[in-house]
Amino acid sequence: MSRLAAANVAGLVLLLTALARGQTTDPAPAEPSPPGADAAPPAAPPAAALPPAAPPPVEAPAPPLQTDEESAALIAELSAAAASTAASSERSIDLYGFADFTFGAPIGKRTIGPSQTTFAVGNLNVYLASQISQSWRSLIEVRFLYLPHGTVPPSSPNAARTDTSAPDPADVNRPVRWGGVEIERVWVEHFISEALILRIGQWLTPYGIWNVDHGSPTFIPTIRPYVIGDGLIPERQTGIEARGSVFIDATKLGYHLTLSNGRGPIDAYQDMDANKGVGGRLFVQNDSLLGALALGVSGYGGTYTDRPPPLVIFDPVEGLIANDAVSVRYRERALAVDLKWEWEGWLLQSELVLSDLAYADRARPSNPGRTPGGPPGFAADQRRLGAYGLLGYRTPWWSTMPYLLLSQYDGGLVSNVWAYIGGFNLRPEPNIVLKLEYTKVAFDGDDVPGYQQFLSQIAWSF
Amino acid sequence: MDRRLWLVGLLGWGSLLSSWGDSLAIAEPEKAALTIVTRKDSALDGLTIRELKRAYLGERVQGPDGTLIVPFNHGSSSPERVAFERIVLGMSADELGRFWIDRKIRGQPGGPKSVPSAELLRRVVATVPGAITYFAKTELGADLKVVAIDGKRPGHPDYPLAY
Repeated sequence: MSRLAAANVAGLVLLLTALARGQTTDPAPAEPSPPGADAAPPAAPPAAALPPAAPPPVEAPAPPLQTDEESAALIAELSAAAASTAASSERSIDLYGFADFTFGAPIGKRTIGPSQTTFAVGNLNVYLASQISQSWRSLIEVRFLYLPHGTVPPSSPNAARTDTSAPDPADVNRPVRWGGVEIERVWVEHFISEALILRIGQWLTPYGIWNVDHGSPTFIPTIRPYVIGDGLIPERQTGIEARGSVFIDATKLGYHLTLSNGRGPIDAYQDMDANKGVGGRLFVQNDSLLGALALGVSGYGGTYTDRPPPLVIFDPVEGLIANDAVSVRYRERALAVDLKWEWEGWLLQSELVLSDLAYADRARPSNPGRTPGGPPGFAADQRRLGAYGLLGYRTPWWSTMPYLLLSQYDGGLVSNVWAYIGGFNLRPEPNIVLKLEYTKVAFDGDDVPGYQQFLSQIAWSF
Repeated sequence: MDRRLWLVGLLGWGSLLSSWGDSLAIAEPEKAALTIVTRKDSALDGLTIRELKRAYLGERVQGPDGTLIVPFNHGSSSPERVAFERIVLGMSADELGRFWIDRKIRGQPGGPKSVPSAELLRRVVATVPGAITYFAKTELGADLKVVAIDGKRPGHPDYPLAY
């Protein structure tokens, strides 16, 4: 009897256990926890919030990773980096950059540009970025150049090459060729809100796609299309940029407004007229099932002014008089539209830029007859218009992207130029880019000969 | 009396056998899920999956009290990170690598910092205001709290970070 009772007690215990378990395995209510509820996982969390057989959240076992001091130091470093407090004495600078090396080979007889195969180190750009605080950020980018050594002034094509050779005292005065540094951008920006971020300094003009992509590892082809490379809108400006954006579901709407010295011979540090360059951009980006689509429209207006160094003369009647005449002045207006669509490895991007340039008659420069077919005289007003379309597909094989680029450009003074480019962009590593490219350039309607070339480039970031 | 005892005992054993049968049955494999966590005293209770993606792709996302959300990643080879990048960011490691390189060359900020070990990452998130990260759900700590995604928490049938 007692055995029977014991068996039944055991059975009862099992029954109750099963019943209790049955309660916990009931379908969990599918409602999320109320927003304010503290969902910190306690030792025995509410089973309803977790899948039926989920083991309760527990403290992760502490692996023997580092000493306490090392861990504490790393946490402090990450905390400081995250907080980026101005008081932090260990604020870090992110030092990085990119470079590229190109091999060019003309195909057939070439009358424009070098007719020999050439190796070239193109860009060596170094960035110094710093998150000064949570709301302040700085970026400096410089490009190291071999130039001006070997150059010929564009205004004097028959002049001798610039020679920067100088005796190197560190090497028994053997000649060394010094090069230059181009300040690509230097700015500080202040985050006020998503709708208003102010950037002050010298910055890349926020228009289109290519000008902002900026660096050779980011470009798909090797060189910029004519309409971008000719700078119908200034590549960079010095002044103030305001920008902001707002998200509406999967759509981002944004703007840029710029106020700068405009274009000028020394626009990085002096505006030579009272007319500031004004620009803006509106864009919309949508990231949905149809991929990432971005559309933008940009505009720029400004006045270019050049003046010779002021000549101060003494007039017996009026005293010192500064002769501050304007030598060149033109107004420019530009409009650009851009489209970029990325979907499942496909890339389609296109930009169209239109620019009108009108000289002031009293400050119209002479034109020494270099315009094809034109007599010596004065520079003409210009309308420049161009576009390009790039189509590519990033395959899974070494991240290779075959691409086609069609570029058209009417520079206003010479005939239409067309470029047909096809190539491969390989990215075996995220920071290594190899490009192989064939280019055919043709000019419309006159006797300016076209050319063909093969270009290969390796661009890398470091 | 004996009959009642027998009845109870029978029920108990029936339950035992039923339970044993359950354990033998082919159970539907439970979905794993990533849990987004932040420090316990954070005002952040929930994010949309888009906000989470934006935060991890370098956009500034703020919590309800204006605190900047600071995302942290696991080490690059961790299974959680691979799953997170696939589910939330929709990119492979190579694609993300290209994405960050291109962003930095454009002059935009770089990606979230990586912390080499899960325990250290848990401590970092528990320390840094606004910090968030993801864990396989068995690795949470008492000094962290779960951040709902699209209003859902791990265990919800439509939780977006299940895989």
